[in-house]
Amino acid sequence: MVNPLKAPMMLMARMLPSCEEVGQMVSESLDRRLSLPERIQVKLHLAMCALCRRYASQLVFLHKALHRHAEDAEARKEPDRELPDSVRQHLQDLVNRESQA
Amino acid sequence: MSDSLTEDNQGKIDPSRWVQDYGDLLYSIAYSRLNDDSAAQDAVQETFLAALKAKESFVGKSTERTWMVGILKHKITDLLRKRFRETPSDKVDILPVEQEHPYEQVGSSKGMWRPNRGPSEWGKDPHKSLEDSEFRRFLQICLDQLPERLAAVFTLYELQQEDAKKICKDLAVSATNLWVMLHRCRRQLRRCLELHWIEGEPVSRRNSE
Repeated sequence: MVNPLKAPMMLMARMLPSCEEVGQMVSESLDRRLSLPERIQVKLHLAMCALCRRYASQLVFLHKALHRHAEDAEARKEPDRELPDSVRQHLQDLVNRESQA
Repeated sequence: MSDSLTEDNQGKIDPSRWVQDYGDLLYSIAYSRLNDDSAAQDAVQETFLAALKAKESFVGKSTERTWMVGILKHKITDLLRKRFRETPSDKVDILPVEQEHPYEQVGSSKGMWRPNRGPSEWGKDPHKSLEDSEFRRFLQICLDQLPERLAAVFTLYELQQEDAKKICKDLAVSATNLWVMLHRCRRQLRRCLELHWIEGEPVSRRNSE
């Protein structure tokens, strides 16, 4: 028996991006504005797919965390690493010498 | 001291204090972005030398610290660009996350998550995690494990926060290529955090080269 819905469903399935493709688009949404068709595809997919929703929210979190990580490193009062004494001395000598010059 | 007398004439700039005041800060930033001791130390040295040369042009628009960090970030950007250009592209192998094949590879469900291979529920409040030093430690470990060439691009974009168009131009890569590289890194980082930070798998240092 021929399923009358088979052809349209196959067509829909072909139009809908896979989880792997949605992952790429979600990542790109952090880097550029997605086109309208892309946004619709992602929205539809995420509405139906809990795993991709989770993936998407974890990528967004990661993106924010990296910015925060970078800003914190630049603003930190107590740096997490110390120059070895020999390097520190070398740099101090260099700066002293060069600032005289 | 006679030194500090002459420095007084130049406003707030006091190079004799730089190593003490900014040495560890600059070194920490450089190390976290370059993942290499001697490269980080070189970057700090070059920052001080560049700052000495440019100190006449420092007019207190920013604080000395911000100015110094700005110079360092330029140095880091130069080094990362060079590293990207000089690392052969075939050195970027398949990433560990890609070897795991989390997606179906054939059949009608090609590209869908394979059973039990999808992302797990992290069960942590992301916003709280940002304050968590444990999380930050794992984030740094996972960043350090990215292969050099990809790490260079990713660091330029996400940590140095360079403009995407500029990165494409400087590295001679297309925007599409950049987006793919960024996603590969994010995939790998996400998986790395999941394995080590969430699931507690011990960290091996095999990728620290």
